[in-house]
Amino acid sequence: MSTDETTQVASCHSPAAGRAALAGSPVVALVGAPNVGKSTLFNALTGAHRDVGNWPGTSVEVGRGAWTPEGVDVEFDLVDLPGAYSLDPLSPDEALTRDLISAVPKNERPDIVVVVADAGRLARSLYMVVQLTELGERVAIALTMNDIAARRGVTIDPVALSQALGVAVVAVDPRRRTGLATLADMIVQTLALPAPAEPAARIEDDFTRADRQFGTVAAAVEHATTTTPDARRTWSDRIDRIALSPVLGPLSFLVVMWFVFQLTTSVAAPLQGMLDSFFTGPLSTAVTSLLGLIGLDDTWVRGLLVDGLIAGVGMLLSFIPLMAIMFMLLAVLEDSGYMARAAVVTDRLMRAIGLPGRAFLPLIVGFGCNVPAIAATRVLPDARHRLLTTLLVPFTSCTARLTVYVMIATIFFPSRAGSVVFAMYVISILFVVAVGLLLRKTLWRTMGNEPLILDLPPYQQPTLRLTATVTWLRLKGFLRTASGIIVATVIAVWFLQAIPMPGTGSFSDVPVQDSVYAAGASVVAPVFAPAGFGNWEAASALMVGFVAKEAVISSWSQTYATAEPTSPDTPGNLGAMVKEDFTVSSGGHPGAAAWAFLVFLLAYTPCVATLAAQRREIGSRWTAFGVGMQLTVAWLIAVAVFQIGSRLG
Amino acid sequence: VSAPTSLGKVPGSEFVVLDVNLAESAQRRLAELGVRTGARVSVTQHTAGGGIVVSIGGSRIALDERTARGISVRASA
Repeated sequence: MSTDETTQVASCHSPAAGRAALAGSPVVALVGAPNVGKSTLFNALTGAHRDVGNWPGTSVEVGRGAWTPEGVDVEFDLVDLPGAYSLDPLSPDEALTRDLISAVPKNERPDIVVVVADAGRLARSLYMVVQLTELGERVAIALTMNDIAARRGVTIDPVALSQALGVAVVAVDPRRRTGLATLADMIVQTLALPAPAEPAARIEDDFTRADRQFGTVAAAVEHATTTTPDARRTWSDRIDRIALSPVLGPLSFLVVMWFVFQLTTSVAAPLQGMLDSFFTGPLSTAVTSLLGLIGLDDTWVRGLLVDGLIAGVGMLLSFIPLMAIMFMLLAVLEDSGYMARAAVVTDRLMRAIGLPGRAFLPLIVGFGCNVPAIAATRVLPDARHRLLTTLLVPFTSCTARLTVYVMIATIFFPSRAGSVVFAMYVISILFVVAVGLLLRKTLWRTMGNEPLILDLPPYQQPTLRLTATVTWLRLKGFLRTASGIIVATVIAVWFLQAIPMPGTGSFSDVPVQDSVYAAGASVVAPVFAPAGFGNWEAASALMVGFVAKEAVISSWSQTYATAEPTSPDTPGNLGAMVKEDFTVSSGGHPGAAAWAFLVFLLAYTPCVATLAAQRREIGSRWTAFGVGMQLTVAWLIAVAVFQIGSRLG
Repeated sequence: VSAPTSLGKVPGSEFVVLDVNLAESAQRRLAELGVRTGARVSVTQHTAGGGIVVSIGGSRIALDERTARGISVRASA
């Protein structure tokens, strides 16, 4: 059953992996639980640079590289298998690891399996060792994190551990490159021994076997461990007395979330504004005047470059401060150990919509901006939870939507604008809860309420280097995957607005209402008639709103400015014109139509950048599903709001 | 020797795990963390929503209320 995966490994030409080993080199497989330093060890041995993040499942792809140890006359073909706690196929990663090791013919198996074990959490790493030896594999243990364990007052004796388990044990520190040569020696020695015999099949059920294996592990750990009282643990427990207390815990969690929200909005927003105004201001002016020098400033070239390319790249870059801050905060929260506490504190609340406590963070961040929020779903170890949260994040009302709410509320409900905007946030929360429950009851009926069993690491000061590395890697990943879709969409909208309908003008010199784009909007408009805003101006605003919500306002000012060139372009006039159109399209119920429009605006696709982020996390198919689901929900609720509202008022 | 009780119900200090009666995956996960028959645990913290934090070896493990109730213990001497 594992032929696919085997081929995948054999033909792996991942650019992240280093040079391939010489043919016929012994195959050494690295296995181990998430976060034990397996990828770091792989990098140290092969010199290949790989993602060294701190999230479970970081190395889902199988990496491969040549390992040429010093002082040993042999080269190894090193394979980095996905993180797994055991060979019990509880998750896809564990199933893959198991298949690669044991479900293939004996001659295709790795020659030796090196289990990377965290000295601070030894028991968890050793279960797999016992399982592997009972499968008749050659096994060696690379003991990592010895310094961190020592700081916690835990010392592991490799010799004692080796005696207890009957396999070679080497303490290594991949960062300082200590123990690597000894590891190579041990592997050579183990390979020289006769292959272990396939052990006789024991007659025992799964449960008895697991219990016996855990017993072996517990005995070995006890034999090899020396513990001294740990000062850091004491401090951690003291902090936890507040951070996890039934009353103060949730309060301190809210304070932390408030800071996260503040940093992603008020600190990032001015930077975002600066970048944005640089692109729309000085840069656009400079490019226009440069084009003027070669006589192209009044042609479509200017439009393509300034309104298409520069606007698109500018939008992409304006997200960078926001994403950098978000990724940095995530890394700090993870690294410090607080994320695990946050998961405990919010567990009960999030369980109501079938998500674990950790899902609270992306959803909160979503109220600032959906794009980093979707990236934040990585705090969830379970793929289904990530998927569900990624689908729910767009329903959290981001600040870009806020500007549109404020404008529409001021136009239609000038005396109660504040309450209307507040109501939109309440509606946003209702959407998250209702859609969450709906998806849970339909698509994931089998998704049980997973129990909370969470290892709480001691608090530690986040390390600058790890934080910076993780932030940079994530940012690079975002730019690589999101840049194309964002820039392409902005250029596509420019194109459609530049192409005139037959007989109305020439390319890139046409009022918006005569463009192919407006013609498209007129075709779409009747769809919104049951919701009371079936005019092309509203449809056109929603269409550009698909690219970015900020564009809704600029689209309207552009549309209405060209529609009535004599009137001054003041918000008051714009408001009056928008209201007039809504009054006509709603048959005299502009208020109800405005509510319907607001609800639609809240619930449909927030922006292209969100889609790009979604595609990166959950793939194109689920992203398309999300778009469809949101449009459906948005339309249904908008129609309901208008139909009920127009009858009441 | 005191009477067996479930971990969720009792306040206080040191316990010996008598039995873990939960879904298989949860049981296995607990065993990986060292919570299995015969293990010595102590409760260090009660959390919001009825959960607890137990100390085992050098680790702290957070459990929700239902999981805690599935672990039967007796007070250790």
